[in-house]
Amino acid sequence: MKFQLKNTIAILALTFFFVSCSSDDDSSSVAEGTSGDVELYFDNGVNGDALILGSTYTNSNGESLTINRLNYIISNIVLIKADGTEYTYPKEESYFVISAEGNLLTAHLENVPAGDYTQLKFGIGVDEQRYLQGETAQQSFWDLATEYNLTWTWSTGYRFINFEGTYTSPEVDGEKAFQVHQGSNTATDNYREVTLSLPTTARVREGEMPNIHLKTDANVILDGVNKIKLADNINEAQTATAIMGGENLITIAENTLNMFVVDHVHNGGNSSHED
Amino acid sequence: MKKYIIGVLLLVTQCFYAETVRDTLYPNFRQYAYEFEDFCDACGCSASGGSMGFSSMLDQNFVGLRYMYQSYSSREGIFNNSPWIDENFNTMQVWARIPMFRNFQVTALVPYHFNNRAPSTGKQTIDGIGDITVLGMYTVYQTKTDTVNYKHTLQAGVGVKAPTGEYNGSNNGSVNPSFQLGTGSWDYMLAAEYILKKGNYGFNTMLNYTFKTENNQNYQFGNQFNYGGTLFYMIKGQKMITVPQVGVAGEVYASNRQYGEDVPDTKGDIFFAKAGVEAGMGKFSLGVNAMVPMNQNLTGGKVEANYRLAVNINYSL
Repeated sequence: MKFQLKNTIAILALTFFFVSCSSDDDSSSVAEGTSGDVELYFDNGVNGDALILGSTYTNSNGESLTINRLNYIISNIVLIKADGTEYTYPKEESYFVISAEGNLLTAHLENVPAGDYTQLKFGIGVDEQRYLQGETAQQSFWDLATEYNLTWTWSTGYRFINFEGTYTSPEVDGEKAFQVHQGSNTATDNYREVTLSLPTTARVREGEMPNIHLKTDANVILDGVNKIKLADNINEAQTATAIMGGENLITIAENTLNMFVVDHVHNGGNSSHED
Repeated sequence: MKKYIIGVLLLVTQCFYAETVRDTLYPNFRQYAYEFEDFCDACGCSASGGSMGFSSMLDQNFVGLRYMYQSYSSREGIFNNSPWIDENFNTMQVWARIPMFRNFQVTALVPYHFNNRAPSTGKQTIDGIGDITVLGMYTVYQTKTDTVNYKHTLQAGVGVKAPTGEYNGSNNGSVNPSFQLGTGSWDYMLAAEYILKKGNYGFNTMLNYTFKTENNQNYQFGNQFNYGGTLFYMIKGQKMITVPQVGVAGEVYASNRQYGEDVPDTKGDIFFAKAGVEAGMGKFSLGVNAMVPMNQNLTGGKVEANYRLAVNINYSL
């Protein structure tokens, strides 16, 4: 009996011995000169719901939109640390097409210096500087953008956002097509940049890729801080609405400053986003 | 990892062995005593007891087999209209409560989990041994005389949960972060239990708090506070004793942490109503138990507990 007890105590002691052997490796340190990948994942939504092409929702303007296309250009990505230091991704590599219909939902960055980033900055569309570098300087991206209906002609440039579908409105009879093609023109530069704070740090390490999960709200394009009624912009023949220029584009540019929010960040993984 | 398993198993078998001796020395030691402790981990995923209770209703000292089922729904995705998926947590558990020496008992839980869910990316199944828990309880106070109306028992104890269950960081998407076999961490707990009995009636209250540590994938599940109160009544037949019982139980979770940062939407709380019955005949007893949430706010509303069920068969020592 006594012997048994002694054994039990010995094993208890042993258990606590194992318990005290927890690892204390310091994972917060950043090895100088190392780099890793970063992935931005754009989860397309509309007014809090997931965007499903072909399905219909009603916005606060009282118009019911059936969205058939949502393509846009993301560019000039900058990652910002807590102390304010910025890492600007190489400009030539920093243009991405996001497309709901093409299931192109990620911007993958490589060789980003290891570090803890707390903010993300990017542009919506293509900046004037890049555009003015000319067609040959950006041929492959121009081709990609063209494939996703994100270009006019070279002289008129890129479409920053291509938002299309059909709509019904109390003010027009029946279902009409709509097209919203956001972009710059000779009159105004409608390229905008947004800076988003990350809910948790994005840890970039060698072999450790943070996944920044963004939530895109297509609703704000027309139904944001400024309201644009499709019915008010219907063509003279009353057959369709096409918003491709003028004051509306400046209004939309302002609305799209609130089009993106970072929902969460996955750290410690090394694979693409699955959910 | 194997070392841990062997260590804990050794401990358990050791206790059994010691107990066979003890039982003959103290034939009156075994008595019908209602005891109920709740242990749950991280919304049940790596649950040792899933707040289903932790010890027998009838026998103070026993070894048994318990099956637990926990039904959850999780929102897959970040949108208001993102689909809800079912998550099924099944646990087969060897559990035992064994007196070591006077006023001191050791409880051991060795769970085997087989969990599944069906997200849009295809059905996921994880199964394997879970985190083994060993808990020592010391009887701080116990009414000695048989003649008094009210009998009190107060116990307090400490425990440890070993990371014998696998923690897989890649399961940790936007869906329930608790879809795991274990927390991957050494966790420690403090527990207290108070039992009040009068005649065939009894009331049991328990509190426990689990301190969770960071696992080797730099993830740390939130500390957890469990509480519960159960009213029970003993119906003594000629050969059988039946103990119906009703009560409430609750769990409060602190935020999970990853790399030392709080993970948003991981703290929460849940409050259950529960009911069950246990029947004992000779050395054997059979129990069933169900819990239904009355109020809950888990992981920012992204996970909902539906209900929990448990069935057990025990052999009293």
